Amino acid sequence: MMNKKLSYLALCITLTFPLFACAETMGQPDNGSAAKDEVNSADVLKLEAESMAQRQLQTRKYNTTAEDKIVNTCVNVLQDSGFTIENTELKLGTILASKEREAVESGQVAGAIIIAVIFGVAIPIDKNQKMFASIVVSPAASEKKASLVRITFSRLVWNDRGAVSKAERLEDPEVYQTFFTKLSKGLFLEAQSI
Amino acid sequence: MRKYLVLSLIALSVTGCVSDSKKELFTSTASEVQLRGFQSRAFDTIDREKTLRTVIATLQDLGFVISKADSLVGVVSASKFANQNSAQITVTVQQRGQKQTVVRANVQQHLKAVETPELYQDFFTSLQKAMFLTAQAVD
Repeated sequence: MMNKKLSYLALCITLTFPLFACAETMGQPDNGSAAKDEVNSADVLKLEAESMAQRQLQTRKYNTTAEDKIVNTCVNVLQDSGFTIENTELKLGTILASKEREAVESGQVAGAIIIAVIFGVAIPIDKNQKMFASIVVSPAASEKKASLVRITFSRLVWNDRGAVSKAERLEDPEVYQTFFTKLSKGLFLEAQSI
Repeated sequence: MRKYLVLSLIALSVTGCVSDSKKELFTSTASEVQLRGFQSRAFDTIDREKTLRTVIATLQDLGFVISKADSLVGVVSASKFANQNSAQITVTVQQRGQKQTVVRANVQQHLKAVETPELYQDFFTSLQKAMFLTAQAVD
């Protein structure tokens, strides 16, 4: 009798483990799309090793000195993508835009349900997110007739208990490429890597 | 009955030593002079816009996201989104005298003001490289 119970338990555990693993990988953003949380708290103002790579990923050069035109086109592109403009400063070429959306991911929900069934505890799941796009347009130091556009995407995620569960920089090269493709179209200019 | 009495006594003693979180408005562990000392550096330039632009570029290289900038007032605010190590920074750029510009940074992390001089030194080390100018202590 006892043995039977034990084997049932063992079976349950072996069956649920792969599920956990699945929920874990599904709930997490794919590798490379989010900043790795390796920075030490005291190193917050130190230059990271990947700083240069980040700059290249986020920056493109355009052969124009019309910074105001670039700023305006950036605002249009952001609006096209559903962003709300929070503030702009033409003289320094900065724009901050944000967008609030749902952040429920099926994998995480499945994981939470499994844990609730087995252990009887409700674990928080991600509910809302606020995504930010921060743009800085500046004259290129190396060339007289060019401007640099640097955009950084990041997001804050809140769980269903209202606590921030994620605060991360988005590092997926595709989103940056998408933005610059749209910007190039709007500017009728070709984007150059730096 | 006695149990309730003991419990309410404990609760009372706890409320007795509760602190007022509203007092956080003006509290800091370091003195104002000390703070100003390690949060500020002077540069031999009067080009405020260029200094602001360099501050912005440096913050971006340090992984911060620029949330606000104002060239008239000379302020840049930025946030770092890195889960447990997220931080907020405000940098002001002001002209001092006829030849210098003072840059001051304030950092907030984990719901606290950052008051360790080394951390600010890291920022000014990066900034002076980008400025091609030496960061001087402000007295």
